[in-house]
Amino acid sequence: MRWNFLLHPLLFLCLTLLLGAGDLFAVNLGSMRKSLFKIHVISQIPNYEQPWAQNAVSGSSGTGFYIGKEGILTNAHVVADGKFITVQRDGDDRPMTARVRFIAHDCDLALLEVSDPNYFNGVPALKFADFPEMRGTVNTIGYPTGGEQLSITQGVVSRVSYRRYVHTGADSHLLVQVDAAINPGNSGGPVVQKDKVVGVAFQSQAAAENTGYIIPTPIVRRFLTDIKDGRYDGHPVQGMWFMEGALENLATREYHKLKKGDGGVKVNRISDYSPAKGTLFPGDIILTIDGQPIGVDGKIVMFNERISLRALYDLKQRGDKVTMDILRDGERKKVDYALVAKSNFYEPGMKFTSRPRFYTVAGLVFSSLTRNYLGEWGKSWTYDAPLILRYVQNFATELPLFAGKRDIVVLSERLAHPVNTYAGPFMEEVLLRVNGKTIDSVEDIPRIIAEEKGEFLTFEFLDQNTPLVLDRKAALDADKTILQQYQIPLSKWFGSDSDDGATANWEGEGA
Amino acid sequence: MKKNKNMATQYSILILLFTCFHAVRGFASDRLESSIVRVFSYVQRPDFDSPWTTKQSEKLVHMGIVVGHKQILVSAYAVRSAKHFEAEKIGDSKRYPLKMKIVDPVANLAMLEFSDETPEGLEDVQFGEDLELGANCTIFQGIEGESLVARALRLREVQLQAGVLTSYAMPQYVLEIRKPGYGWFEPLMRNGKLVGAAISQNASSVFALPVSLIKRFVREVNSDHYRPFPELGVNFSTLLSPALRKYGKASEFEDGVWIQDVKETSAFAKDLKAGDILLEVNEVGVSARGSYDHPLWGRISILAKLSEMFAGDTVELKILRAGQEKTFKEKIGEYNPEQERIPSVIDAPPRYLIYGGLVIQELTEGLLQSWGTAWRKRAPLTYLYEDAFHSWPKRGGKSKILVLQRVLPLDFNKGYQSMEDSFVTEVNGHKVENVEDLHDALNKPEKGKEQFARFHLEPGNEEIILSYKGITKVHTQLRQRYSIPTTAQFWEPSPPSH
Repeated sequence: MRWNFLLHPLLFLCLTLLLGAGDLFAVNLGSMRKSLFKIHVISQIPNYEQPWAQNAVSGSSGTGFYIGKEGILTNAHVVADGKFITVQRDGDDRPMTARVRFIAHDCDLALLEVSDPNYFNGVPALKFADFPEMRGTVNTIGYPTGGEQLSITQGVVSRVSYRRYVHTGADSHLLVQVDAAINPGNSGGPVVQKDKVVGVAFQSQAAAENTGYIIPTPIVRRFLTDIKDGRYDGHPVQGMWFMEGALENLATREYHKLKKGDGGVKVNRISDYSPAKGTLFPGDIILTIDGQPIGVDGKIVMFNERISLRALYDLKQRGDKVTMDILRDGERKKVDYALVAKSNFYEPGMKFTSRPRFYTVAGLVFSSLTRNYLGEWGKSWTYDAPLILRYVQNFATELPLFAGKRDIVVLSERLAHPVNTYAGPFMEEVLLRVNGKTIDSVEDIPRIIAEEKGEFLTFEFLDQNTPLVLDRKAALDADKTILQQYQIPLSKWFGSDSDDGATANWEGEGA
Repeated sequence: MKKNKNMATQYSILILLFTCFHAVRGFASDRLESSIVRVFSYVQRPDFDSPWTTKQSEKLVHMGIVVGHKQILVSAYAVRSAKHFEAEKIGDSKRYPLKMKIVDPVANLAMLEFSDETPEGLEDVQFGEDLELGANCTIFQGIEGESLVARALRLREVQLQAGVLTSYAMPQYVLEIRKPGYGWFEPLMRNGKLVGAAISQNASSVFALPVSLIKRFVREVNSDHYRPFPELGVNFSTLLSPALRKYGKASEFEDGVWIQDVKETSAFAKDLKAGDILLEVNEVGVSARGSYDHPLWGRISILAKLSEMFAGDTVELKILRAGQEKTFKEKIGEYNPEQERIPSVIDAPPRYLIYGGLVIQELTEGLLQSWGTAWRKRAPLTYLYEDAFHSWPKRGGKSKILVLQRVLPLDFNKGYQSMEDSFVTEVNGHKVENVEDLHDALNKPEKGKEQFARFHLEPGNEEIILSYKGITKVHTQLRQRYSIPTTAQFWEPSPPSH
């Protein structure tokens, strides 16, 4: 027993030492040390059940690195909802107050600046390489599991793909998989290959051991270019769906008159909000994108790997053009269109605004449906949330009923009072009309109510054939009393998506 | 310590045995044991994953009640998909083959007859009357063992509840019980007479059909013409909110419910509309909660009245529309679960058609339940949504929802093999709403594109394009590769059906 006990750790230590030796050669940490920061964040998440309230304050930490005049780069999820942020240089004892300069939730990146403009004097900016060398060794540097000392873990670049980023849960971009452990706290740290940064560590796979994901340089560079005009627009809107693989089918190829060797994907749907609307149509075959031939699997060759054609599209900026060779009704055509940034349409992803959009009238709380709100049903909300909400969350962008809507409005809470006693059966239902007028956003409710002069307020809900009817005068008279009775500090919030919850700052705090 | 524990167990067994013995002596009689048989049925339920086949045969043991000249009454659930059934008299080990006389999935009742030999000493059970709330009765369990085991129960409430096989709601006794293992058509007796039969159970209650429904069934089975249960086809919600009452111009004092929806197949489809207020059914007032005062069971849903009626009866409804009272009188029709857009008879065989490996099936409650006990959470959202909100009949009951359930991979359907759980809404440009439509649409290829079959799928707006060329050969390959019997429904060109 004793022998075994001694032997095993020894063996293990030897192996790590050997690996460690290679590691030291691969990364010259000495010069990089000054550019690495541990980020402490005190955050406060809005309460989606009681939209006027905030949840308890909590603390967390992550990693960031200095990239030059832009500041410290980290993950958006490290600083999301951050109310007080400090950064601490490796080996330094003094934390420095910081704030968010730019935050890009869709690609999980953020840039921080610090209160002392001289803080970065003499700090070298880390340099980026274009793309990690596949099958090459990379080192992940950071402060995993909240440790005080820098940790380096080594892995091999194993795959590049176009996949979902979990921060919003709804956006997909290019990412690189490495077989190195990425733990909480590693987030935002640089991933280095031969002294150059090839990506930012950001997520891992719980189901697989030692599988980490990094945001590769092209996504980081796209972010840095996007903010050059002082505003973050986001990755271009897609709103297009195609059937990958359909053109493998011989009969389908014949039907669409494809030539031997032709690849391509068949468009099945273009959303109303898509910039491709009016240019691409269902049934079109996209043969090339920006001159790159598309395979029948919907992939193109990028960085010497086969990746979804969406990866190329996704790296563009607002206003950029995309050109395509298409086949429509047997005719070959060239089309192009300009890409647009996100506008107001229902997005199924997580939001990180300062608080949810809502409006309260007569004790009825109408909230904008979000993925965050559905999270109130717990981790398995996809099974446990009410059917109608699960359905709308999944298909809102495809249902004509919701086309062009800014918000999907849900009756989320009832502050019980005699005027709303019979509203119970309408809880968690989707509001369609107030006094016969269509609701496209939360703001529509007070506007319609203000215009109304009749005896009643009627609320009609999706798939509910009975309206919720209130006595208008009684409802409006009770409004103020209810807010006082329940001590509701805020009866409405119509903030935009740019009203970010990461409000950490140092201004107004004195010297 | 161990010894002591063993002794304690033995002691408690003795007490239990004594209690059981005491119970049997107190309630059971030789006469009841000659009116009860065990019914063994060998059931093959449909396999919705592979609709051309059935699931492994399972043996069910239910209790059968001897009624009306040695016929055996049992729940429809026990025998509807059975391939064979036989009876065993209590205390007699011989099995006697049975045959089906009539089965009504809506009533969840079936009548069986002995095929050749009838066991000796059988006696018809005597019928009692429906129980009053709070009344005591005895339930007899006899699935195992040589004699019946009795347990005293009290009628807690009567609920209008969906049956086991269909969603048709009927009054059911709710009796509190803490012991599991009931719901196998155990008879409920009072003073030696049948007052109900248990058909299902949850954690704390047994649900039973009241004897009035059993008597009705026995009477109808033995008449010249079986009269099924009727349907009103009207959905309503409560009218408790004073603001809604005022808005609907209902008086402050009169009761009534808010009509939400009227079925296309309802006898009142042309009379009623959403927003009407239903005041009376056959001169019986409807409360604002939708109930009426039953002489035995207290307040119960007005829909319980329907189980006292038959298809073909005349029903009078009094409603309020824009403050004006109106009366409509119509002959109500049969409730036919097959007319629903998503039919609710859970063990009905799936209706499907295979084309080039695409298995296209009509969506049914049975298919939904193939996602297991948590199907309401696990089944595809689009299916659940249609089931919850759009399952009422359309096109006179002919409209169903076709779904691409799966694709059996072959070179022929390459590119589409991972597609599943989508609605098939059009084929070759023709709208399809049932298997017959699908068959006909496949017989009518598009002009200029005669060699292709084109399937349109929702909600993704996708298309599957396959060839007609060599389809017979492809179907032969599919049969061979996936061991599909020749009885399976493959598409074959034929004249359109009418």
